[in-house]
Amino acid sequence: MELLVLSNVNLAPIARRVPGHAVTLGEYGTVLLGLADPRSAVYAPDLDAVVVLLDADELLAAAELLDELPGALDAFSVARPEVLLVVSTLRPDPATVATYAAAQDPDGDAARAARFDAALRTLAASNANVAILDLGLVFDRHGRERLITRAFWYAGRIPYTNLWFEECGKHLSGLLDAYRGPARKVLVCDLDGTLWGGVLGEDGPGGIALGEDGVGKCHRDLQRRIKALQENGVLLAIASKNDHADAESVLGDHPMMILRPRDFAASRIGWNDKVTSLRSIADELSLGLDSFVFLDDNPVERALVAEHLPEVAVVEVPTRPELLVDWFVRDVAFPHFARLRILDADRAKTEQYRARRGRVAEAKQAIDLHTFLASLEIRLDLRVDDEFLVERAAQMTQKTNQFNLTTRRCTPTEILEWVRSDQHAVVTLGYRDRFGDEGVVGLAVLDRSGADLALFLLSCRVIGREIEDRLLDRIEELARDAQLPAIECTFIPSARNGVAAGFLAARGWSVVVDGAAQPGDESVRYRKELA
Amino acid sequence: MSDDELEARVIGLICRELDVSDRSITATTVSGDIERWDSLGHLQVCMALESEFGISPELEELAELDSVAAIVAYLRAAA
Repeated sequence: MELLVLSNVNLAPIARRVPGHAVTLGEYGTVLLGLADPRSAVYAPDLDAVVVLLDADELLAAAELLDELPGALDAFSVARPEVLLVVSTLRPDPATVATYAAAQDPDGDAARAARFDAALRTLAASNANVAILDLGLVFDRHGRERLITRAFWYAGRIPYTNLWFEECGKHLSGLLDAYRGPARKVLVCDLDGTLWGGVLGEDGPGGIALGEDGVGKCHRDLQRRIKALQENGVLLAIASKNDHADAESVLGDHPMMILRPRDFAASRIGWNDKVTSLRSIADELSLGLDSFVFLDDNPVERALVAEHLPEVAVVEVPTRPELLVDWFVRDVAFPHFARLRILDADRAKTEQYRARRGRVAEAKQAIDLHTFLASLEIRLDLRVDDEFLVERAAQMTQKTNQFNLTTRRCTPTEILEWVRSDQHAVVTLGYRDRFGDEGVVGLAVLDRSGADLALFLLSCRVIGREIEDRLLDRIEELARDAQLPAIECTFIPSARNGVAAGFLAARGWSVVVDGAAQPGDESVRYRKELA
Repeated sequence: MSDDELEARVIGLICRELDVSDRSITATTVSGDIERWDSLGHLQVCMALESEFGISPELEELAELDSVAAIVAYLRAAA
């Protein structure tokens, strides 16, 4: 946009600090004259916006200008309805020689500045082409010490440091972009580690961090901000790798959830990769992926989405939960969902989209998962009978519910016995990729004397990366080394291990006994010939 | 930082602040040589020195920072 910046001080350095817009500067100190004079630059025909950025302390020292300015701004905005008029709020220095009395003074700087700001709000409420830029965004974040300079003020009437010009220019640019409409419409949220702390599949509904204390409050407060965004017209969606029923029950019934199922315009909870989920959400909502912002604490998921869907805005989620709220406001809401006004129609948006859906077309666009997985530089660490990993192995048998063929729970003592016995081989799977080290994420136990795969599980954090195959390869190799002609495994279905049901069949194991034939027994006995 | 590196950084900063080509500023340039190094240009150069080098020149020092050599000498003394 073409802008003209007017001020009561010298703001020349702002000219090249409003990214994406062309700035002209009015002669400083001639704000009133400029607004009133039809021959002045503010009446130039190709101007898109006039920006009035005021130094509060200078303005408050000029009583006449302060009194007349609201009227002049009103007259201008009416005379040029096609031009956006941006006016800054006043942020006077609260430290004056009146010391503590300044706060009490009904005609002190703070009180007069507040009256001016109130007049601006009245103006913006009645004139659709008036927008307010709150300089508190700059002053409160960085502090006057870093923003005010005296040497340049006395040398050339420039009261601010480069930091002020950069921050102010950035917000001005953001505001002008918002004037042309919000950049993005949909916020797609992950669940584990994002809307709540912890991993639902491992920690259980009672074990996730969501509440009014500590880490739980960090996530609950984040949910409050997300809910506020939704009430302002942003559509929310879920893309989560989780057991569908478990996640739905937390969303619906967990007493500390702020966001509820009705707040989401679309939801994909299951074991699909997130690229497929995002495409299918875009289909369901009939919105382009370029209107999506993707929120996920897992850097691997973010990389997958960034690589395959470059049009989606992928935001870097802080790893420290206490930073989530400030980060969300500053680095998600401002850059991606900035808006100048919130209308009643915005508040009803989620309902509209929920009503519209129904024809849920499953997008089956296969992505090239192999290329992506190769780019992760996965390094696996397969260990047999390592006593150091006994504690972790036992913990996984207790916590892992989804990818778990037998759902057999073990104590460290039991695992240690197996590790020390020649009859059993305890195989652990360590995982590391270019994003970090996940530690031990898989476990399998081969009972050599019974030729039986007694236990096989994989943490849900790494499902979908084809590493379970390597774990099974190692087991088959150990069975061959023990001269076993075949091994068997009893898959025991549970309420939550559906994701693992087809695994052995897909790996060439055949069904020898299908428990479903007998009432009450749902287990399936698989066999793999090794000869 | 060596004198050469410091000088190169200063020249880069001046070129950027005044929006002139990097060939037009050398170690011996003084403000009078460059049309855009006027009073406003000078303030912008000094403000950039302040934010990038963390210095805080006094009001009466500002006018003295009117050449590449003077700026480099000032930064050396302030370091």
